[in-house]
Parts: sequence; structure tokens; C-alpha cells
Amino acid sequence: MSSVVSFINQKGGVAKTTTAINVSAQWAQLGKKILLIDLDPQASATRAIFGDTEFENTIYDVLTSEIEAKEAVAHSESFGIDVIPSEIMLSGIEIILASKFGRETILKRRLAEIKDDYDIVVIDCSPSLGLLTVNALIASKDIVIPICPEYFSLKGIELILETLKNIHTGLGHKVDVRGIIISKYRNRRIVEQVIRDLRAKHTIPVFNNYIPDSIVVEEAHHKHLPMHEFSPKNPAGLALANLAMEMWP
Amino acid sequence: MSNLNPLFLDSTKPIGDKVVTNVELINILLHDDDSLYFEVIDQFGFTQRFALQPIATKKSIKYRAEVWLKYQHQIQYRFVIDSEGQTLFKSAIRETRAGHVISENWEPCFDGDLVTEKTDKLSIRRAEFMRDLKNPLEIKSNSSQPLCKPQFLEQIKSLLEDLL
Repeated sequence: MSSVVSFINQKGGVAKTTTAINVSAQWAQLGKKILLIDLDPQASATRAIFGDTEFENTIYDVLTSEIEAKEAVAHSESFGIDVIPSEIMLSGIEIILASKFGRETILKRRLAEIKDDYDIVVIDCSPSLGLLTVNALIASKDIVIPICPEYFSLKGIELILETLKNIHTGLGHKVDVRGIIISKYRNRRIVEQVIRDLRAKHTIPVFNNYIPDSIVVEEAHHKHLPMHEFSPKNPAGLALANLAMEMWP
Repeated sequence: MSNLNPLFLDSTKPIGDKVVTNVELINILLHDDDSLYFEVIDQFGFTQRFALQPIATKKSIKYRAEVWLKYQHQIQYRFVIDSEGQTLFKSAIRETRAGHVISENWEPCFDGDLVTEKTDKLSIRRAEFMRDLKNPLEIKSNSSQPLCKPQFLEQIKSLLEDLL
């Protein structure tokens, strides 16, 4: 029985993709079979893993029912995971899906046939709270929320929790928040203050392994390698590896 | 954000006794002047016509309409292509109960009585269309009642029942 977990935050630049791809690669290294779905029209996860490779079949084709989900699966040797890539066409898909019957459960239905082939299905969401993200939430059992420890992020978390409540009320689906990931961490007094506020204000767990701000993460993206391979002893690489263990021991 | 945000409305829930039915037609090539319609006839013989709009995905073009129908009520339906005000092609009439989705592969069917003016242009177009078909044409038999025969008394009775 597989588990589906979404990395979600409507705010951009909070390292959703970085954590999603590296945690997935770490899980794969630990022997789990992982499917990563890039649900962001910017295709950051796809680019970080495969570079400029163009894909004929993407999540767009799966959601428009042109192909089956398994036909869009590409394997990454370096990350050790299967990926359903994304493309910019995905940015227009909400218009196509909006009037569909059962528009909110399309992703869940399309994944039904393959999700049990994997231990964990990871969804890298787009930085928005539109129909695509609702589809990701309905398809997911759990979510994790990567944030940068700053004032705006606290407000953002409230918005995500409100969305989860609306999805439970309106669409009858309960999603559990597995935890908050602190990314781009810097050891500053104000950062510590934000994290303290976060822990005090919400009952959601905050993962203990903070991902430090590091240029090496960016370099790993450029080389299309996971951190555990590109720079295993780098503090960010170590933190990502430990975070993977903390999330799914 | 409130609960009224349409993003969080269950699209599968009927509203009143009506449901949104998504009609979708695939694998059809229209010429510039052609229009594609979905015709639905209710149990009282009342005909409604809905234009199908093209939705282009990466790999194909679908034609789609959103139709409000009384849930589980008996309907007859067919697809029609018009060109310059004249009917070019019609599919066979099908009968079903109104649900959320009607999905039908185009099965060409020409009813000579209903295509009133057969101009040269129409004949050419039909011949072209015939050539494109791999399989010989078959008109699907059906047990449908004749179309466009209003049953006003029954319709008024039903409306009164709805009101009461």
C-alpha cells in the first residue's frame, strides 16, 4: 500500500522542489520505490532531474486523459526514482479541467492504476492554491509544508490550513499535515524567533532537521544530481538526508 | 476564503434535480464553416441544441458542451454538423438516462429526409467525408420515438408537479 505525500506551499521560492527531489532520492537510496510527480508548470523538478530533456508525455497528457499515467513515467538513474515530468502547457490546464465532472479528483483517479507499484508517491506542487493543488491534496494522504522562516510564511501556513479545512468540509477529504520543513535556514536571532512563534502558534510538528541556506544545493541542481551524490558531506546534504529519515523512518 | 469558494464545491453533487452533463466528442475534423451541435430531446419531445466548443489539448482537439439535464430522466440525443445554415451530417439518435457524462464515438449517419437542400457543395462535402471513413457506414437501429413531436399536456402536468 503506497502513501501519497504532497510538498505544498502557495508561496514560491521556499525550496519545495529542492526538498521534494532530494528527500525522494534519499528514500530511493534507502530501498524505497519512489514516484515523483512534477505538478508545477514551471517544471522545476523535471529540469533539476533531467536538465533540458523534452518529454513527449507529461503530467499534462495524463490529466487530459490522452495517455495512461504509466506511459508518462520516466526513470532517473542519478536520483534512482521514477518521475512523471511536467511542462509549461500545464499552466493552461485549469481552464480545461474546470468544467469537468469530478474535476477535483482527476489526478487521484489517473494515479489509481500505478500508485500501488510504489512505496511512496511524492507530488511537487505549484506555488498556488488552484485546481491543480486541490487535485494534489485530494490525491494525497499527507502533506508537508516547506517554508522559509520569515514573517510571511506564518501567514501562508494559516492559508494552507484554511484550504485543508475547506477541502474537508466541501469535498469530504481529510489530509494530514505531516510537518513543516524549515528551509534556507540561517542562524539569526529573528529566524529563531519565527521558528519559536511557529511552534507556539500551531500544533503541527516542525521537523527538527532544518535545511541550511547553501549555494551547493543550487550547484547540485545545475549538475542534475541529488545532494547525497553531489556533496554528501555538505551541511544541506546531510540535513536533507536526515530529514528524509525523520519524515519516513 | 469562505466555503463558498467554487474551488471547494463538489462538482459531482447534483444541484436540485439537475446535473451538469459533460458532452465530449473526439476524433472529428471540422472545416472552417462547420459548426457542431449536441441535440437533446427530453421525454416531452422538447428539443434543445447546444453548440460544442473546441478544446485543444496537446495531442488532440475535443469538442465539448456542458448541458444541464434532469437527473435520470429519459432523453434522446444526437450530434449534428451544420455548415452555412444547412445540416451536413447527423449521428444516429441514441436514447439514455441523463447522468453526468455522455461519451459517444462519432458514428456517421445520414438521414436523407432531414437534410432538405442537397446542394452540390453539400454533396461534395459528404462525398469527401465518406472517403475519409475506413469502415462502411452503418445506421444504428434504435427504438426511438419520432423527434420534435411536442407533448404539451404531459409537459404542463410535469411542470405543475414540479411546482407542487
